[in-house]
Amino acid sequence: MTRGLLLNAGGDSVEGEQPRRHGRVSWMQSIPAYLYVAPAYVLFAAFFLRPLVELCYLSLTNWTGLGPKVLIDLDNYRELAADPRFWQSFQHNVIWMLAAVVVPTSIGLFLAVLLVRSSIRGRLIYRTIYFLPQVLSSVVVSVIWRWIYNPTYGAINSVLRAVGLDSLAKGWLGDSATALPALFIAWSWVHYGFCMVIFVAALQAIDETYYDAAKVDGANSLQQFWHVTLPSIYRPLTTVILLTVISAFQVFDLVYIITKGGPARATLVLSVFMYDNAFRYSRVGYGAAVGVALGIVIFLVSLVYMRVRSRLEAR
Amino acid sequence: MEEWKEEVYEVILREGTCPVEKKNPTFKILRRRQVMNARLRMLFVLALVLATLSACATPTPEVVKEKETVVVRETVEKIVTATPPPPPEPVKLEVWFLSQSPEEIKLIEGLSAKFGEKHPGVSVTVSAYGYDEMNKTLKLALDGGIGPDVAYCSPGGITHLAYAKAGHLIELTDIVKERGWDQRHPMDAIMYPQKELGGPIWGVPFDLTNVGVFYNKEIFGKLGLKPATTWAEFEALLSAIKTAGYTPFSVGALDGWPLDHYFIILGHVTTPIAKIEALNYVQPGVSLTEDSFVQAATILKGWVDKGYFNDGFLAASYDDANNLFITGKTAMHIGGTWNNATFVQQADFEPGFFAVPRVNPDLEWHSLVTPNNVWVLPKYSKHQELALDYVDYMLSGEVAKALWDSGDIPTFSFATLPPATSGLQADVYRAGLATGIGYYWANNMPEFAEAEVSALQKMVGGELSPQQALTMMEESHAKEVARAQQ
Repeated sequence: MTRGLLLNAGGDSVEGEQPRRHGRVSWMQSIPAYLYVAPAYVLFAAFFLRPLVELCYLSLTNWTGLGPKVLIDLDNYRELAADPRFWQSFQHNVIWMLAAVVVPTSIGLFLAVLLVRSSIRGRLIYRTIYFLPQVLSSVVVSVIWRWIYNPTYGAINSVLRAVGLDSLAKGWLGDSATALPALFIAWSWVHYGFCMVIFVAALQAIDETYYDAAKVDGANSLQQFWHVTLPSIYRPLTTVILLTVISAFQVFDLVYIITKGGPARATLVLSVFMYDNAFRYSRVGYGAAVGVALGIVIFLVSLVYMRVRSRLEAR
Repeated sequence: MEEWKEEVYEVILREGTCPVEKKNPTFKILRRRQVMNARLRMLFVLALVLATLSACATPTPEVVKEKETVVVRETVEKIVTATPPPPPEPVKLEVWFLSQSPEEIKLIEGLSAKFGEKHPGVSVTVSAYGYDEMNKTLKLALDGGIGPDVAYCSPGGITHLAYAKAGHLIELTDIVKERGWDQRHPMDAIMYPQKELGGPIWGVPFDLTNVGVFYNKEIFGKLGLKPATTWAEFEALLSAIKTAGYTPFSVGALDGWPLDHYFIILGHVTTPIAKIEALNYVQPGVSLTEDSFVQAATILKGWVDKGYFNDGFLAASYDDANNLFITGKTAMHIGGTWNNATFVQQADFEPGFFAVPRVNPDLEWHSLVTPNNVWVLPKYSKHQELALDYVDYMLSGEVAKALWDSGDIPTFSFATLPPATSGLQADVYRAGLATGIGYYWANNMPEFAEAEVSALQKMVGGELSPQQALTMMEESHAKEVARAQQ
């Protein structure tokens, strides 16, 4: 019954009737449809497929960026598998990803709940301010944070010295132990705005009656959050996490501008390692192999994540 | 409009009936067309009559001659009074210039404008790039068969010589002689960047750089110190500065390469030049784990342990380190003479310069005195002759004088050396004369350069001993040598 009604609403069938099954459409009849999608396919092929194929091809060569491209089979991949810098970069990306799932997502969610569920004044202004880092150019963000972390006149050390905590003042970007977390904080400062905006939209779509029902049942704010808010924004939340994970693997500009992967490779990530090889060390073939490996990593992580999400949803 | 309708309208028009239809716009158009057709028919008949009459009238010879005279006069008048031919299309010469110094970029822009003034219709656009940017952008452009008319780029095996090997540059060997560049600049300076390819000239430098010790004359004066000429004096100097409560050196180790310059300069005063040359040209027979390099690394680590560097130097950038020196927060700064103009203009005190003394007095004294970057001519330029004229101008005495006046040291052989524009320039010139040339030994091995910087950062950060750091460097160096041998 419901199915019939729904189909009726779509205009395909009427109640009680079996939905009409589409018969085989001849290729002549399909031509207009193909023509409609052709421009998109052409663009996709020109700007995604072709570069992708070229990247894979380059990864099998020893091209320096100049001169002939000599095929060297899988040598680049063999070297990559044994290269400690690759694994070090990969490790940094994994740490970054794990932290990214928690930090900017939590901050974004917290601020979104605060802005939507509370009755504070000037919510639009707060929302704009919180979102501001997201619209800033990454160069500007990098300069800001490089200044904040500056060992001599940086904001953090100045504050620490002002409150008598001189011993805690240090070169945040120069210490292998603190450089990666310092960069991650800068990245989170940018990224939480994106999470927040998605969550705000999702929270605004939740039916208020759910909260009313929860209140009638005696649920406090935390219980409302746990039993109403979180289940209601499950899909946006998991989407945000997926996008954050992907973006954690793609992080480049901030790292490159602030530390270039240093000091002593302490902040080296895969994208910077790829760039260095391709453009600084004149090893475009090897850089392409890093790019392919990075693409595979992102694809696999996304695939696993989506599978897990589907299974959880099916339960 | 359908045919039957048109026919109906034509009948109505011919017969002049059906007034209601006259309000119809189609009717109006057809009516207008009909009137126009009648007029055209009349004009055609008139023209035919006139043509027949004129054809019947035979002109006399006088009339013909007069007509010819008129035609000739009109033609001559047309030629004489014709507007002059349009001026040639303005030529735009595109120059890519490697520099991060605003003062230097401004100087080159000014000189390029002067070149434009000397060549009417020519305008020169100068685009400045940093080291990495230039290497990346120029390589991509040349590989794509495009690029600037002239480039001033980094010399070496992965830059201008690689472009030359790939066939992207115009060879300058004959041009150097034809244009007399070898008469204006010492051949040694011209040949220095070409060594790896053993002769053909692909790029020409026009100034020298030196890496040495910039010092604050005010602090030195207060403490009664003089520039060191021996290693023992240098160590005493450092100790005295530290004891007096000043920080001896500023370095921006976050950017990596400024720290590397400290190590390379110490390598030059501890290691025989033949070893350094082998390192520079990626030849076997030299190892970073040799004693002289261990000595250099140990000195550097010792300076860190004694607190000779600015606080948080590992997190400081190149600009931070320069700022610390020009604001008098450190007494010295080991750096390159490309900073001369900045230091002279911005420091609150008079800066001086001296070469790092030899650790071992038996060694030949070498420092990082090198010809700077090189002018190259991509073969894809549409204005090759003009591009050559531009480089010719850049190698002229006029430009050399302008460089000198800016505080730079041009490679130009002045008949009479112009007076120094600052005490710093005089110091740099003297220091350059006192020592032999040197090498940025990692320039041809960028992957090794990264390993060297990383190892040094780990060493000064206390994660590695000098020996461990050098072992890490050597692993990368050995790979580069093996790759070069293939």
